[in-house]
Amino acid sequence: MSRKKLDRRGFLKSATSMAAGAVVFPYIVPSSALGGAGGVAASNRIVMGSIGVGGMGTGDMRGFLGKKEVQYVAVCDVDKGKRDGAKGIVDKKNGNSDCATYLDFRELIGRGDLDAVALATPDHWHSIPAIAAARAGLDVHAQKPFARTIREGRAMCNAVKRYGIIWQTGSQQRSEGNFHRACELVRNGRIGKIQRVEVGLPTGGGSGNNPVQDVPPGLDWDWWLGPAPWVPYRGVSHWNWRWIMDYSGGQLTDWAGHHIDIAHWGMDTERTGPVEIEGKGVYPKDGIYDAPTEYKFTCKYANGMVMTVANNKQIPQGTKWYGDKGWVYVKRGKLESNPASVLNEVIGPDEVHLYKSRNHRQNFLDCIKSRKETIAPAEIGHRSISVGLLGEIAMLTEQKLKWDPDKEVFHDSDAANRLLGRSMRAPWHL
Amino acid sequence: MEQQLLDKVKTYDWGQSRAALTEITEGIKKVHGNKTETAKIEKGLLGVLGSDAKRAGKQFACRQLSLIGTDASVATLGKMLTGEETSDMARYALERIPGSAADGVLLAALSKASGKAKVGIVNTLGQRKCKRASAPLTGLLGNSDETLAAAAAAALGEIADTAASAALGKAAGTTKGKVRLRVLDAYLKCADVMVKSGKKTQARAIYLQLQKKDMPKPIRTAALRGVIGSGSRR
Repeated sequence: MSRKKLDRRGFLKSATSMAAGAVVFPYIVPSSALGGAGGVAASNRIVMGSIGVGGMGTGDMRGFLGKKEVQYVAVCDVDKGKRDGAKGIVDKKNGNSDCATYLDFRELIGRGDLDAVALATPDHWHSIPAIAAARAGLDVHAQKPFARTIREGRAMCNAVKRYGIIWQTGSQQRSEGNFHRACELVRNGRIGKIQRVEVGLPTGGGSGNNPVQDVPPGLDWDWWLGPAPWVPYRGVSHWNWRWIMDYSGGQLTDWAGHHIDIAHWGMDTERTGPVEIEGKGVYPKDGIYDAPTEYKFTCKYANGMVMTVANNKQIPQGTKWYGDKGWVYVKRGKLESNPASVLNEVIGPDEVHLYKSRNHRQNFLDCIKSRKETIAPAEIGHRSISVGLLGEIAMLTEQKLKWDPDKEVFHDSDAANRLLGRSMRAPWHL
Repeated sequence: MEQQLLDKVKTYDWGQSRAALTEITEGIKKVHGNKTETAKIEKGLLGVLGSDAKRAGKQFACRQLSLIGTDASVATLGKMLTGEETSDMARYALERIPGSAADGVLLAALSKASGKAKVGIVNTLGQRKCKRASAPLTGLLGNSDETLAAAAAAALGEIADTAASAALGKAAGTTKGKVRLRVLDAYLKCADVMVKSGKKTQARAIYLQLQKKDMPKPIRTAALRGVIGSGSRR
C-alpha cells in the first residue's frame, strides 16, 4: 500500500477490509501509519489540498505542511508555474512525487480523499470554490478578505452553516497575544463605556496604464478572470490585481479583515454591523488601477458607538478604542493605553474571557478534530469585511447610507443596494 | 453629460486613457436623485451600445447602466443577451436593474440563447429570484449539457418558491452524475427558505427525504442539521 493510499479516510476504509483479509494474508502496517516515531496515526491525519498557491497561498501551504498531523496531497492554481512550484514543495516534504496538480478547483474538491482545503485565491475567486468545498463537506481555511461582495459573503456563511463545516478566515491577528489582550481589556470595561473607535489601514495602490499584451506561458487567463468581467491581459495577475475593483477593493478591503476585525472583537459587534455609513475616497482618475488610494468613512452602530476607518495618512495604523475613562491602542507589535496602568489590569475569573488561540493554523486543525468553532469563523469574517464593503459602497455612491445589519439591505438607496452583489461571467455562479 | 465625453467612450479601448470614462462616472454621482439628468445619461449610454463602439466601450456603458439603468434600458440590453461578446456585459447591467421588464427580456432570451450565454441568463434569473422563471428552468434540469442543468438547479434553489421546490424534489430522485449534488444542494436551500418562512412541516419532509442512505454524506449531514435546526423530530 502506497503512502498516498494511507490517508485518513482511506486507512479507515482499508482497515475494515483488512480485518477480513488478515485471516489469509498477514499484513504489515508501517509504524508511521500508527503514529510511531513521533508521527501521527493515519486516523488522526488531516488530508489537505490548496486552491491558489501564489505568494500567500504558498505561505499558508508551507505553514500547514509544517504541522505533523497534516498530509498534503494536492494543489490547484491557474498558473502552471505556481502549481508546479507548490507540488515541488509538497513532494519534497513527503519524500515522493505523489502530489496531484489541478487547474480546475472542482477536480481537487471532487477527489474524495480530502478533509480540508486552504483557499488563497484573489478576492473575486473566494466565494465559488469556498461554497463548492462546503458542499463537498470539506473544512476550509480561507484568506481574508472573506468575500468580494456582501451577497457573496452571505451565501458563503449560509453554505458553511448548512453543511456544518469548520471555517477559519486568515485573520491571524486574532491568534496574537497583544490583540487578544487589547480586546479583553476593552470588553471588560477597563476604559469605561466605548464612545468611538478609530481604525487605520494602509495607504496607496497601483499606478500606470499597462498596454494589452500576450498572456505569459502557463497562465490560463480565462480561468484567472473566472467570474469577473472579461478584459484582455494587461500584465496584472499576481499581486497587483489588488488595485483593480473587479478583483479586490485595494488596501481597504485587504486590511479590513485585520484591524476592523479586531475593532469589532473589542466592540462586541462581531456578528452584526453598523446602521449608518458615510465617507469619501480618492480614486485614480486614469490608468489600469481603480481602487481607492485614500479613504475615510464613518460607521455608526445601533448602540451609538462610532467607528471611523481611514488610510494611515489620516488615522495611525491599527485599532484604537476610546472609552469614557481612557483609550487602548493596538497594532502589530504595539499595545498602549491611557492611563498606562490599564495594561496592568488583571481580568478576573468572572469577567469576559475571549476565545484564546496562540497559533492560528493550529487552531484550525484542532477545530477540525474537535468540530468546535474556530477563532475566526465565517460569520465573523463576513461581518468584518462587510464594514469595508459598506464603506466602499458609501464612497462609490457618495451618499449617507442607512444599513439594516439583520436583513443586509440599505433602507434608503437603490443605488447602494445595486452594489451589494455583481453579476458573474458565465458559466460561473455560486 | 457632454456628447464629447460619450463620443470618447465610443472610441475607447483597453489600454487607452480612461480619463473621459472617469468624468462620466463622477458625473453620475453628481446627479444622484435627479431623475431628469440621470435619464439623459442613461440615454447617452444606450447610444454607445447602439453604436459601433468597441467591446471595451460597450462594457463600460453596461457597468454604468448597472448603476442607473431603468426600464428604458432593458430592450437594448435584451438584444445583447444572445451575443457571444455582449451577453455577459448585458447581464451585468440587467441583473441589477429592478422591475419585471428586465425579467421579461431575460426570459425572452432564454429560449433563443445557447452555450455560455444561455447558462449566464439562467444564472441571472436565479440571482434575480425571478419566479416566472421556475417553469422554463425546470425544463432545463434534465438537459444533456451538465453545465446548463447544474446552473438551472442552482437558479431554482435561489428562487426557492413552491414550483422550484417541487421541481427539485422530483429531480432529486432521478438526477445522476455531476448535476445531482447541485440539485440536492438547491433542494436543501428550498427547505432552509421554508424554515425561515415558518413552513417547518414542509421543510422537515425535505430534510427527511435528503437523509436517506443513498444520499451523499454532506447532504445527509446538512439534512440532519436541518431537522435539528427546524425543531423537528423524526
